[in-house]
Order: sequence, then C-alpha cells, then structure tokens
Amino acid sequence: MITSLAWKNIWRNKKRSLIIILATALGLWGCLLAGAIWMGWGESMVDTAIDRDLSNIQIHKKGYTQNKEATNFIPDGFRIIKETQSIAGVKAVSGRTLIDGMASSPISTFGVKIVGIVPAQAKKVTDIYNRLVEGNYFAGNGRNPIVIGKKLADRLGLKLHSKIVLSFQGLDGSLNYAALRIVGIYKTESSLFDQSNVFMQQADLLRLLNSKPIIHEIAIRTESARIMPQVYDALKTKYAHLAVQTWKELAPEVAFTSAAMESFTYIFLGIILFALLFGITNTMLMAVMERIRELGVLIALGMKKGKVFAMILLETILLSITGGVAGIVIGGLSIAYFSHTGIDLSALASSMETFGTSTLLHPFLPLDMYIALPVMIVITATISAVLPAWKAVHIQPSAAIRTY
Amino acid sequence: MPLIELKNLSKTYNTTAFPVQAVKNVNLQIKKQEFTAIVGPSGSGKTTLLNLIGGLDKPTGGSVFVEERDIATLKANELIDFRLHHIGFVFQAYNLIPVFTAKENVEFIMLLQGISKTIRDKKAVELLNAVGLGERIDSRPSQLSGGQQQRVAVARALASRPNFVLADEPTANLDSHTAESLLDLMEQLNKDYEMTFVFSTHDPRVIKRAHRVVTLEDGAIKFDVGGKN
Amino acid sequence: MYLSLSWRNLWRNKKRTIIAATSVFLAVLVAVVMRSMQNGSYAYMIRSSVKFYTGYLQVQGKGYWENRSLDRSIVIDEKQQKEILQIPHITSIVPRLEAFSLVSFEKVTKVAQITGIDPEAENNMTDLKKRLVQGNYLTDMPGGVLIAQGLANMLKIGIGDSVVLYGQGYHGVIAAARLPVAGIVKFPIAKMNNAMVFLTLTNAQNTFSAYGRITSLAIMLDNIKNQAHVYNSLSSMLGGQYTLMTWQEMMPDLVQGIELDNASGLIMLIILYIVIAFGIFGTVMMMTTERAKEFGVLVSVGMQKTRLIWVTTLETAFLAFLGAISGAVFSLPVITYFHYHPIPITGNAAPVFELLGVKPIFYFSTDPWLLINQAIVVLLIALATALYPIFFIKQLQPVQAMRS
Repeated sequence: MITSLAWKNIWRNKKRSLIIILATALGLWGCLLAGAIWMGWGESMVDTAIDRDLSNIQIHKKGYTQNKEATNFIPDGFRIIKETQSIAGVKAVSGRTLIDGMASSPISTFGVKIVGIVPAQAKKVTDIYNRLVEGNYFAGNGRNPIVIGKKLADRLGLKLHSKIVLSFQGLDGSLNYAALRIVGIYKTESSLFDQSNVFMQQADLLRLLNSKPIIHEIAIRTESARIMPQVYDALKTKYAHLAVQTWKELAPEVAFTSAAMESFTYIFLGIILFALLFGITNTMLMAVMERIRELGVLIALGMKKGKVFAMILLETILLSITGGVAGIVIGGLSIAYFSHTGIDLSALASSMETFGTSTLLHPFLPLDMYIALPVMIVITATISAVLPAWKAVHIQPSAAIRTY
Repeated sequence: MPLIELKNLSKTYNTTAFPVQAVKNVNLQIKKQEFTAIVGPSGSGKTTLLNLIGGLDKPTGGSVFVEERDIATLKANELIDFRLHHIGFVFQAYNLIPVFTAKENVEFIMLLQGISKTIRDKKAVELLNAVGLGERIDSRPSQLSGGQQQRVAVARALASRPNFVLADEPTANLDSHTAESLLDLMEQLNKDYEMTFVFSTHDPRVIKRAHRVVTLEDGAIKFDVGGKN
Repeated sequence: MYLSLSWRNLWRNKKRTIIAATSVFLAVLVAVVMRSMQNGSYAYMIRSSVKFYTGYLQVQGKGYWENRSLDRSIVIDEKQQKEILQIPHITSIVPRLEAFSLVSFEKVTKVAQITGIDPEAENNMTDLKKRLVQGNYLTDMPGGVLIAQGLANMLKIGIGDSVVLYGQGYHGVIAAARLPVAGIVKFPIAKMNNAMVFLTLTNAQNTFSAYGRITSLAIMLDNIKNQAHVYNSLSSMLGGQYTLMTWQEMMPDLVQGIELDNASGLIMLIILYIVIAFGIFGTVMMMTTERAKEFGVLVSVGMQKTRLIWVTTLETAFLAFLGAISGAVFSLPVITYFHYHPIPITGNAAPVFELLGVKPIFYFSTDPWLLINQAIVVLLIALATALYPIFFIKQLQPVQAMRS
C-alpha cells in the first residue's frame, strides 16, 4: 500500500516527474548505447587482431620476443604442434617459421617479416586467406609463390604475378636472395600489418634457408574465448621450458584498450548519474515543499519520523528507477537492434583501419552491466533522497499546518 | 460624460455541462469620483463584471466603454498598456511581489510606465506616507500584516495615476478594525485625489460606506442605489 | 529594477537554486577539465610527434611517399634551402636521405632504416643527441654511424665495431658500406629502437650513390597556427616540382586517433549536457508554474508579457551563468595545476600511447577558449530551457492564473 501511495504521489505533478524520468531515461540510454559502441569497438579490435595474426595463444622459445633471431626456433616444434592439437579445447594449431628480411622491387625496398606457414593449417587459425583482394592463397603449383599485402604491393609498385625479391639471413649467417612470384594480395584492416607481413609456404622458406624444418611460433586457436584460460594453463604446465602467452600478453595495448572501454563506460555512467542526482534531489525537494502541510498533518497524526523518511526515500527510488528502467529498456533494445544489424562506420573507415577494426561494429553490453546499473540507480536515488527526506522529517507540524 | 459605461454587457461561460451566464445584459454608467460597491452573493457575477471592466476578460455580448472608448477595439498589448495607464487594481489576496519591498512594489508600476527614478522614488514615498506606511517602506510583504499589505496594494494601485481603481473584495481577508481603517483610507483618497473606486464585495462594512451600491443577482442588476444620477 | 527582480526571484528558494546551479557548475567543471585534458594531450601529441620525426611539413619528390624509393629523391641546393628558410614562421629545415638496407655484424644480419642526416640540424629538431646512451654523436666529418640500442643488441655490436650496410642505392646501384659505430641511441618506441641507423648525409649519399640528393626536407614552424600560411607560400615557391606533405598526411594514425577520441569526448559531453539541460528545465518549470498567479497579477496591473518574459529569461540566464561562471572559475586553477603537473599514465595504458609514438602523459590545455566555449554552451542550453516560461507566459490568461 505504501508503494502504491508513493507511486500515486509521483504522478501528482506529472510534468515535473516526467521531466526527471525523461532525463534519466535519455541520459542512461545515451550512455548505454555509447558504451555498447565503445565496447563493440574494443571487441572488434580484439577479434580482428586475433583473426588476423595473434590467435588465442602463442608459443615461442623463451627469449624469442626480445631477440627475434632465426636461430631462436622452438626445439622439437613439430612434435609440439602434434601434441597441442590433441589438447582439449584446442581448435586449430599453426606453426610459423619467421624470418626478418627485406622485400625489394626495382622501385623500392622495405623491411618485412617473412612468415612461413602450412596453408592448410594457417587457414584454420587466421583469416588472411579470406582477405585476398587478388589472386589466391597458395592454390596453384607454381614455384616459390608468395602472398603479400596490398600496401606493400603499392609501395613496391608490384602487381599480381610480379616478381618480388626477398633478402634475408640464413641460419648459418649467410645472406640469401630469393625471387618469388606474387600469387595473392591481401588487405586487412591494418595497413601497417599489410605493409610488413609476407606469407610463404613453409617448405619453400625452409628450402631457401637451406635449413632443417624449424618453427619459431606456434599459434593456437581455442574452441572458445572462455576455454582459453584452461588451455593456457594446460600448455603452460606442459611446456614450462617454452614461452606460452595469450594474446593479452602478446598485445597488451589491444587488451588494455578493449578492457578500458568497459571502465570508460562505467566512469561515464557515474558522471551521468551524478548529474542526474541533482535533478532528482530538486524534484523531490519540490515535492516535499508542496506537500509540507499534508506531511505536517501526517506527523501531527503520529506518523513516525522513520516512516516519513522511508516514504520519501521510496518515492525517490520509484521515480528514479522508473526512468532508469525506461533507459535500460530503450538502451537494451537499441543495442540489440544495432548489434543485429551492425553499425556501419564506413564513413569513418580510414579512421577505423588505423586501429585495426572492422568498419561494421556490433555494439554490446556485458550482462553484468545490466545488473550493476539498477543498483547504481538505487544508490543514486538514495543519495538524492537524503536532503528532501531530511526536510520532510524536520517539518514542525504546527507551523506547517498554520503557515501553508 | 460617464467615466465607465457598460452597454448590454453579457458574459457566458461554456462549461462542459451547460453554459453559465455570469453577466446578463448589464447597463451601467459610473461617473468620475464615484465610490461604488458592486454587491451580491457569491456567484452573482461581481468578479466577472469587474474583470470585464478591467479588460481582463472578454465579454460575449455588449461593450465596455472607458472615457467613451470601446475597450474591445484594443489589441492584447494595447489592452495591457491601457490597464497600466488607466486602471489601478486592488486584489483580495493583496498580490504584492514577494521579493520586493513596499516601496519597490509601488515603484515597479511606475517603472513599467517608464517614469524616471527620481520621480518614482519621490512618489512612492509620498504614496506610502499617504496610506500610513511611511515607516515600513523597506519592509517586504512577508514582514507586513494583511492590512498593511493591502495598504501597499492601494498605494500601488494609485501610483500609476489611474482614472479609476478596481478593488476585488479588498477587505475579505482583513479583520474589522483593519478593514475599517482601509476604508477610511480609500474614502480619504477618494476625496483628496478625486479618485474613482469600484468595489466588488459582499462585506457589509464596505456596503455601508459606499456612496452607490449596485446589487447583482444571477448576473443582472437588481438594485442600483445612491448614485448621483 | 528588472534585474533585481530576476535576481531576487532566483533566491526565493535558495536550496533549489543552489542545487540547480551546482549541477551546472559540476557539468562545466567536468566538461572543462575533460576538454582541457583532451586538447592539451592532442596539442602535446602533435607537437611531440612532429618534433620527433616528420616536422610540420616535408618537401619530397613526387611519389616518394608512396614508394619510399631513392629514385624519387630530390636535389634542393643551398640557394633554395636559404630561400625556404627566409619564409616567415619557418624556424628550421632538416634534410634527410632515408632508405631500407640490411645491416650486418659478424654473423647477424638485420633490416634497418638508414637515415642520412645533417647532425646539427637534426639535433636541433629532434634532440637526437639526448638519445645517446653510449659513444659520441655524429660530427660533420665523414665517420661512423649511430645505431639504435635494440638493433645494436641484436647485432651484438659495440662502439668502434664496424657495421656493414648492404642494400639498393639510387637507380638500382648496389649500395654497400662498412662503417664504425660511433654511438648508440635509445628510442622509446620498440619498432624504432630495433631498426634505426643514422649517418651523416654525405656518407649516406655516397653509400647509396645518391650524390647531392635527399629524400625529404622536414620543416619546423614556430607555431602550428601558421602551418596553412607557410604551406601556401612554400608550395607557390616550389611550384609543381615537388610534393609538399603536411604532418596530417604523414601521420594519419595520429590525426584519426585524435578525431576518434575527440568524437567520443564530444558524445559524452552532449549526453551530459542533455541531462543537465533537463535538470535546468525542471527547475525553470517549477519556478514558472509556482508563480502562475503572480504572473497573472503582473499582467493584470499592466505589465507587458514581453517584459515578463524578459524577467524570467534573465532568471534562467542568471541561474545558468552562476553555475557556468563558478564552474569555469573553479576549473581554472584545476587545469592550471594539471597544466604544470601533467598526469603520467602508468600500467597497461602506457604501451597504447607508445604505439602512437607519444609519451604516456596526460597534458592539460589552458586555452581560455575552453572556458568560454563551455560557458557559451551552457548559456545556449539555458536559453533553450527559457523557452518554457516564454511559452507559458504567452499562453497565460490572467484571470485564470489568478484564480489558481
């Protein structure tokens, strides 16, 4: 009955209550949608980085990341690839032979990372094969095929089927030159990646290196993001002598940016709720002032101060939560809508490419935010209620009835 | 020449249920310096009649002439200016501006008329002295009693040098003594300033003092006693 | 008297006015501090990135930016250089010859960017000498090379050892040189620290058979504000012979990073201001409706509605200004403090900034326009909310209003 009384009291001054409800709803809606876009963007950044190159977990020889020497290969790498494939939760594994080298054309020269892969393996781990704008992904039988990025091709003035010269140091320290035929040109969201990564078949690269089979990097995709920590632990214990790292360790800036989006959204929500707090306080203060006579009568009739306080508090919470729920519902619906259709940011395409994200964003909010938000609203309402409730409690019944 | 002339004045309100005729075919002439009370029970149409005279309400039939000018011909803005320069208002609930002092309340109406500061100052003090509030010129309405507030309201009504003052139940909220002294004041002003007063009231104290009493019943004039016709 | 009427009306309900003004105050404070941090950081990022390498403008050969080919190098003789320096606002010009090449020491070979520099001019612009951690800086005398620390570690090379450069020179001539290491320099960005070699311009020109040629001429300005002006004078001086690049074209990542961050910040502010606007609107509405009777009286006694509107609009403006000005005044010492004590970024966020090539520090701008702009925005919002009383008064029927 108290709740229904509080509810009715809210609607005594429709316009005033509606304004504050609208402010809450709009504020939260904007906040949630913006937050969801940020988070969708962070997620997209993570996803594209994982799909393009990082994968979920990578194994190197210890010290390789500091000194990317060709001789720092993973001992017994091929056995490890086999073993990891059978670990529960592992979806696909790709071994990479990595050599730093120089790519030259008659026009220019650039430093590149030469990645030797087994196409069938690599296809399951990264999606470069899906990013070809020209040619194919090692489908033909030609000698020494190579797949390079669009950006590099442009810089070197090379076309599909052109010859590209790679120079790199062999394991024995000798300099090697190799002319390769461009069979595919890919384009990812990151032009920096496209400029500095070229892909060869592992066997070709090893032959050019005049080397026994070696690999420097094992990239592992897990069945799901959730199972990743479990797989990571298993690998870490099993290969204690190797450097086992998740993508978060490999690209802390990507992990941070993605995680920062959530903190960012919470901070923003906090600021908006803080701003709302003032509006709510004012509205409730007015509601109390307007009813000072009525409240005075209630107190005179013997209503306990605690009850009066609780009544005002309840009204404030009801008022805020009404706006809050409206905001969450509109926010949730619009996020669901946009996450279904995606938000096409191709207008900002070049901007997004810089940060390596797809131009189609799927905004989302983690579930815990939908749980945390009502709690945050109730806290805001409670703080807002303090002043008006204080005022109500301290009404002098005699004076209130006489004066107003 | 009558100061105020009402010709066949009627006002009908269209309420949701049925139309209510608040004023019916009223013909009335009020001359300069008359001290007239329009009386009648609640709902007899006194306030409506006063509102029509003051141009606050529009008649549904007939016309109001003030100094032979049909106020219906005035545009909304002109009507407001007309009230500012020709009519002084005294309300039942005093209706002073709460954030202004007594003097400022009186001054304000002159400010609206565009009168210079020195004249406003002088005249406000003079008027407040005339209504017996020379000591309280810097008090805010909340610091004044009901009777004192109504005196300020009277001073305000006179400040614009109006042709006549419309007072809607000016004594309704006052006790006997205060009401009597307010009436003394208005009678005095009527004499000293040759000011015309039109009251709407059902207060016998006012009726007793009025020079002319117009009795309304159901929106029509029933009696008209004491006029200088 | 109208002013004093508005002002006093504002204080009829002190608490309400203070609460509403406080919300404006806080909004302005949050907005100013946020914008100050964003703008200050952008300005710092731009300045430091520009100074770090590219300069505000660069004169390059046509097509050089795309191919980075030595074949696109240019000749700018001393006379031309002098003429360029005479353009007002140009503080210095820095010629460079850049090329990728293999660098070897004993058994290790790496790819590096070789940059031929005018040691003194380079130091004036980029403070290269300060990066020296070992050995000596370059002199004009033909001599050694400066090598980046990370690269030196990989090559296991020390001061006095001779590094071998091996690459492609001007018009495809083979470029090879053997030069002693004079000094080791340290860069904060890993990518640069692992791949930079500096030598004197003459040495570089000889090594790459690009006698008298440079690939770029970096230009520093006294102030970014003069960039467009200098760009115009310079491009008319140079004619169509060369390409004139701006830092915006050379560092699109930076520009887009700033744009994206700026857009997020603006969206946050818009939502915050919407919430604040509702708060002001609610207060203004309460201030208006509770005085309906008073308005009725004022119109009855002959106050023109336009004057009444003026008085109520003034009230709203006072309220907004009170909050806005106190917010601006209060935020001034805050941003001034942070301007002199910028906030260093620690933890996981640092690498993100290093990725963009800037020091991880939040700088604060003290541009007075920040304060002025926020005050204007708040005033506009207030004026928008003042539409309510205007509408209310326009519709006001004095008889009805007085009856309520």
